[in-house]
Amino acid sequence: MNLIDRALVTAYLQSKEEASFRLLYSRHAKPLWHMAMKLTNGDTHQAEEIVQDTWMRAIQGLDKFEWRSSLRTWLLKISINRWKENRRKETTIGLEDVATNADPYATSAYDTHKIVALLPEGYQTVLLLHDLEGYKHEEIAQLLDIAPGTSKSQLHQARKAFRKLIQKENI
Amino acid sequence: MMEKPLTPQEKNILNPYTRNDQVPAYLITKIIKKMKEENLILEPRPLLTRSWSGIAASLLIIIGIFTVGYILGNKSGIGGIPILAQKTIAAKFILLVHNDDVPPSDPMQQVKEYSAWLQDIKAKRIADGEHLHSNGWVLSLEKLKGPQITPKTEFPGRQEIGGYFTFEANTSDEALAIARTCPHLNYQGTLELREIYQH
Repeated sequence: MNLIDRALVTAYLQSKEEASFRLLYSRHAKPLWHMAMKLTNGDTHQAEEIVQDTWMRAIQGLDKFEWRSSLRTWLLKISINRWKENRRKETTIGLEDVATNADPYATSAYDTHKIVALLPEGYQTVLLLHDLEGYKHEEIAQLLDIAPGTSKSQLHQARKAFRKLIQKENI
Repeated sequence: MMEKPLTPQEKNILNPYTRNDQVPAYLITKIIKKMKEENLILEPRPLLTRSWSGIAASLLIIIGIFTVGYILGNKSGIGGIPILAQKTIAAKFILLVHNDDVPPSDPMQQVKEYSAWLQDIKAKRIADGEHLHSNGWVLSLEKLKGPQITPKTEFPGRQEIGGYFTFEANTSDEALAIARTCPHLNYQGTLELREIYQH
C-alpha cells in the first residue's frame, strides 16, 4: 500500500479541496491516460470521457475504498470497466454503423476495429493487458476480478481466437 | 500447450495505437469543473461566511488559553507574564550548511565563530546545531545492497551537507534574516534554509 496515496486520499476526504485532488490526480494521470488511449485505440475523445468518468466514480467511492489493492490498480480497474460499457454500447449499435461512418479509404483501421470488436470482451482485455501492456496474470486478476488461472486460460484462448480471426479475415 | 505470444505484427493488428501521448493539460480543468458541479470539490470558505458559532467557539478557546497562561505565569513567579503568550513562535527551520566554503588558514577560528553565532541565537530562541562527518552511509531501497560506506565522490552533483542548525522563527522572513548572519557566508559557503513540517 502506498503511504503517499493514503495521505493524499485522507487529505482530500478531510478538506474536499482542489489542491488535494490535484496532487492525487498528478500521481495517476499518466498511467490512466495511457491505458484509456490504449483501450480506445487512440480515440482521444473516448479516452477523455473514460478518464473523466474514472475520476468521478473513484472520488465518489473514495471514502469506501478499503485499500485491498493499490489506488492505481483500483483506478485502472474503474477505467477498464468504464471502457467495457462503451464497448457494449458499440456492439449494440452494431458494426455496420461503424462501417457506414468509417472513412472508406481507411480500410486497415476499419478492419482492425472490426477484428478486435469480434473478439469476446474478456479475450480482448486479457490480450491487451498481457501481450501489449506486459501485466502479469496476478495483476490482471486484480484488475478484472478474476482468478490468475482464469487470466492464463483466457489468454491462451484469446490468442487462438485472435489468430483464427486474422486468418479468416485474411489480414 | 500455451499458445505462443503475439508477434509484433499481430500486436499491431490488435492495437495499432503506439504513440505515447501526453495527458492533455486541459483534462484536469474539465474534471475539476465537473467535480465542483457535483460538490465533490468545495470552494475554500472566506472567514466572514463561516458560522458565527464556530468563530465564537474559536474566540472562547483563544481567551481560555491566554487566561490559563496568565494564571500559570503568575504562579511561576515571572511577574505575571503569561507563559503561553510568550510562546508565539510559529515555525521551526533548518539551515543546511553546504560543504563548499573556503576555510581559513586556522580552521579552529571558523569553528569558534560558528559556535559563537549559535550561542547568540540560543540566547533568544530554541536553537541547535551539529557538525557532520564527511563519510556516511547511503541507503537505497531500490538497490537493496544494504548499508554501504560511500565516499562523497561517488555521488557527483549531490550537495554535500557539512552540518546544520535548527532554530525557531515567527516567519520565513525572520528565519532568512537570521540565516543571513551565519558566518558560513563569510567563507563563501552556501546555506540552504528549509522550514520543518510540524505535525
